Amino acid sequence: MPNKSIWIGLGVLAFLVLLLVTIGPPYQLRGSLIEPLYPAPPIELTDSQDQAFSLNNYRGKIVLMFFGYAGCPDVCPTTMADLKQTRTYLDEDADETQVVFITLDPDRDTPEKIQKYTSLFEPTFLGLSGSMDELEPIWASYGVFREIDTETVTAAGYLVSHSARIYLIDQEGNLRLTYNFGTPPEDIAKDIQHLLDS
Amino acid sequence: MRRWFLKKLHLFGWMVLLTIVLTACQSSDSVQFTDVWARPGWKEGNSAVFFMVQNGADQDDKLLAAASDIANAVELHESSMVDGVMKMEKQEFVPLPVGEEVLFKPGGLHIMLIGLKDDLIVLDKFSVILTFENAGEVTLDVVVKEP
Repeated sequence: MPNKSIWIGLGVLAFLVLLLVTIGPPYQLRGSLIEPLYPAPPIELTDSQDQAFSLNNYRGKIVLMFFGYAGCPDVCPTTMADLKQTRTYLDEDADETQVVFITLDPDRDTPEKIQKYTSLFEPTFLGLSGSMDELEPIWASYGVFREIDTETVTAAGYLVSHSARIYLIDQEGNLRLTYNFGTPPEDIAKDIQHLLDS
Repeated sequence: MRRWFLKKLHLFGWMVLLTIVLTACQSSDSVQFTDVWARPGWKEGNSAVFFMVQNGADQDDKLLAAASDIANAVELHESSMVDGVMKMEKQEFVPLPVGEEVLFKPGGLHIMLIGLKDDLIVLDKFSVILTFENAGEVTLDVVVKEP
């Protein structure tokens, strides 16, 4: 009897190992997961075509959002390039995503200017601006830090110090993940693929 | 007298040529650059130049300034992440210790191009003149590419 029990146990173990090898280990998200589920704060702005933009209209898609400004020569274009690369990694599934860039410098970034800026990276990217009254609550709701640097004298005018995280809003409109500046685009793409496949 | 003058002129010519050659060698051998590139940009916008520079001389050096016809202004800047906030600061100079490499990269040191005079498109090429305290002026050939 003990021999039979051992064989049954080995058989179950072998099955579990085979199952694990077939399915693979659980997926580990690369970004910072926000738990519990947290509905993304609403965003209501007017785009460069004078059309209403609402974050709610992008339910069913994965939104990748970043806050920056057009005069930023380094961090912002680097991030936009990373998001473009992320979409490249997704192949056809890139159509399930939407990149949104919201300005931190409405005094200089008109809706037309910021849309032109984002379109340089990819025509599908959306650039948004607005009044301070519209933007400040949005910045605050996403925990964005933004500070005008008036001390540094530069030919570029004033510089804007800012937090540089990428925000991922899932298909159900939850603020699901954030990514530090410099996160490999491939990692972001893998997380997106995981969410799309779930 | 004429022979003496021609002899001195001949010697002077060789000295000038030697000076030119030595100067060129110094400016090209004391600092070496690799992977020089710039990000695409739009007219009136800003962009940045990145590279790796190595000080191959026998003394410390400093990058003091940069200039280019591609933009209205060119400055040395450094981005840095402090407590989760990205700041950018203009640099009066960038130290280049002897024998060391200094990397100008996205999110760090960069040559900021302010007010591009025209769009910068992938594969475009332009020049930037860097001024070093000891190495003097060095002309960089920059190619525009996507990172």
